[in-house]
Amino acid sequence: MSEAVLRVEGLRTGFATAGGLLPVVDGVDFSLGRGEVLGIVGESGSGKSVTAYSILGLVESPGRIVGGRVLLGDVDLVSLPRAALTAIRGARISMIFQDPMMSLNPVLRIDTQIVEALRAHQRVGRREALARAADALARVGIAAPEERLRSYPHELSGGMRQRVSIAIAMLHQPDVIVADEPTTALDVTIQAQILAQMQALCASSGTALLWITHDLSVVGSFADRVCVMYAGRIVESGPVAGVMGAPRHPYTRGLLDSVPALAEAGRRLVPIAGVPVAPGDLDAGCAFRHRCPRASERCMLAPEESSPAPGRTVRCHHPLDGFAPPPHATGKGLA
Amino acid sequence: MSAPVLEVRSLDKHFAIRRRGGGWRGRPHAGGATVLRALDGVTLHVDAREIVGIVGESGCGKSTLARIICGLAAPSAGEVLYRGEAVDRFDAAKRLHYTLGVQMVFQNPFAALNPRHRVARIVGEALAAHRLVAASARDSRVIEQLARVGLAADSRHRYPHQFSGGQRQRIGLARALAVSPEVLVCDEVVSALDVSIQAQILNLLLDLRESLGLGSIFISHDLGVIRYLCDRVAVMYLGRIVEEAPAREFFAGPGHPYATGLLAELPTASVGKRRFEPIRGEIPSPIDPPTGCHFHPRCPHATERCRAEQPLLREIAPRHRVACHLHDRR
Repeated sequence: MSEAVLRVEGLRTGFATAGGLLPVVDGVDFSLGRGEVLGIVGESGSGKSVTAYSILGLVESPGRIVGGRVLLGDVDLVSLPRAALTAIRGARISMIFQDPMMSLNPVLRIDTQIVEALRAHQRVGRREALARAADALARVGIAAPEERLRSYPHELSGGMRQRVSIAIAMLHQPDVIVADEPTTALDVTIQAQILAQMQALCASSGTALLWITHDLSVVGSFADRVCVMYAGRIVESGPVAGVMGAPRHPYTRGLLDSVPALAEAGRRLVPIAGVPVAPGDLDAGCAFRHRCPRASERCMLAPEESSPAPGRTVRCHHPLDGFAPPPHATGKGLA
Repeated sequence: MSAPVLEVRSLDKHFAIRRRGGGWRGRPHAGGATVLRALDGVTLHVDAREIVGIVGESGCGKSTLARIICGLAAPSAGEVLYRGEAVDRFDAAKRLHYTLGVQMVFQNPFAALNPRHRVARIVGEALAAHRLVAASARDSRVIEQLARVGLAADSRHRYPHQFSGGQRQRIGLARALAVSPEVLVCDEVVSALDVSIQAQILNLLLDLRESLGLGSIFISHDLGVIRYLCDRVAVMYLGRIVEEAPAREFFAGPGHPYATGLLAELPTASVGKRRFEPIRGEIPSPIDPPTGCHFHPRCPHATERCRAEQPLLREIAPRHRVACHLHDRR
């Protein structure tokens, strides 16, 4: 692997509540190589979006980062003063949000918004800025970019709006783009167009992509590596082919067995039993043990991260051996 | 052969809308109204024990179709038949039978349940309103419904906010099942759920079909879900059904270029990076759809004829109907 452009070490983010600090991200480590696509997969409440927001310093009160480092090159974004962070965000690291209607300003035309983002980090004249804005739109596959520049966000379709956000995120050719469920709100055919576009753009500019999603099937065909999150921790990580082809963590196995598109025809889906534990109810043990068919007494203790194969990590006392056929989750989890 | 439990024939649904820059505050504009054709000649049926999947993207009319089937909206033309009889000619007694017999489950389980009511009231309300069971038996009937969808009996004393998304969707199902329907109309019922929870609900729907013999219409944008659940598939595009086939045949080889494109986006069990070859272009506005075949601007095989002439649904194999001029050449 090439040298890492982004390293996240021991990241912990919590939310202050009446009952104390709720740990939503609880010791997350990963690194991202130049031009690499890393998928972070998890279900609602797994902490994947809070991880994304923490990386860019976007966590708002009552949430705050309580530990760890986010190293972009050799700069720690967590300890960086506000002004210095602002100078880096949008230039060297940028973000694409799930709903472009929320991230674009509804009362400003597209040209105003792109030129503003451009001039925030570079001294360029208005005429040149406009030309570069049109160029940026053309690169994300928007037809008649000059015309689109004069539109307001509501005049564009959802897919087109997301293309505009991508164009803005790519403006300064950042080292890293963090994308939080960028295609979830889009129709299937438009989603495929956006994925194709992102793939091509990142390959040509060497931008690394952190792709946050709940959709395991997109990750499988799009990312190089994947981290699976559960209850604020990364429970499994590794190259996509390995993790999805031979998962070691029972949760990953359960996720794969739940996706209808990945299921063999005619075979019944094997859902994961039960529901995730609320962050307030977490204890020292493995957070998945209540739903896990392999859980034992040992799972009352937090599992350490181990490496079952080169480039792979798993956090489980009873990992799968990576060869066995999928277990049919008949056993009840340990309460 | 007996009539299907539910059928729609040549349904049209038009919405009058004002043009941009039109009249002030809802007043009609001198230019007059424009018509959005949400449904354009839709014909479809459901048999007992059958799950029919409807797949399509935004604006294809799938939710409008669901609302008309349930009697929540009236069609502009065409008819809905319940057990072979047109519902718009029903007397009060038959209409009640139809209203109860076709039940809907909604997409968003957070919006579909009244937050101020306890589950017992949500599930039991229709029973009470239509006096279907004696007041004394209502509680046990509610418990029975909750058990069917895998919820504990004491759930009935709680409020919707005390449940997770998947559990709320179970409550929505229990409410629909309480009046012993024959047809369940499910509009994107699993789209808002996490995959592990989604799989639980899908299996529950399959079990209910087995135990109750329900016919279902299952609307989804997710072809993976449709393949798992459905016996028959209808693909909609901008208000029209462009393909209809038994699920097995459909997934083995769809006949419409749009369906082929949709299916190509379906992830496969094989992993590893792949090149995406998406259907190009945007979904056109249903207010001003393309002439001829609605799909022609995005279709890789479009010809002059596709621009001019609307293709009609024709059988290309037994029970497999496709609306595409390409099949004429054979």
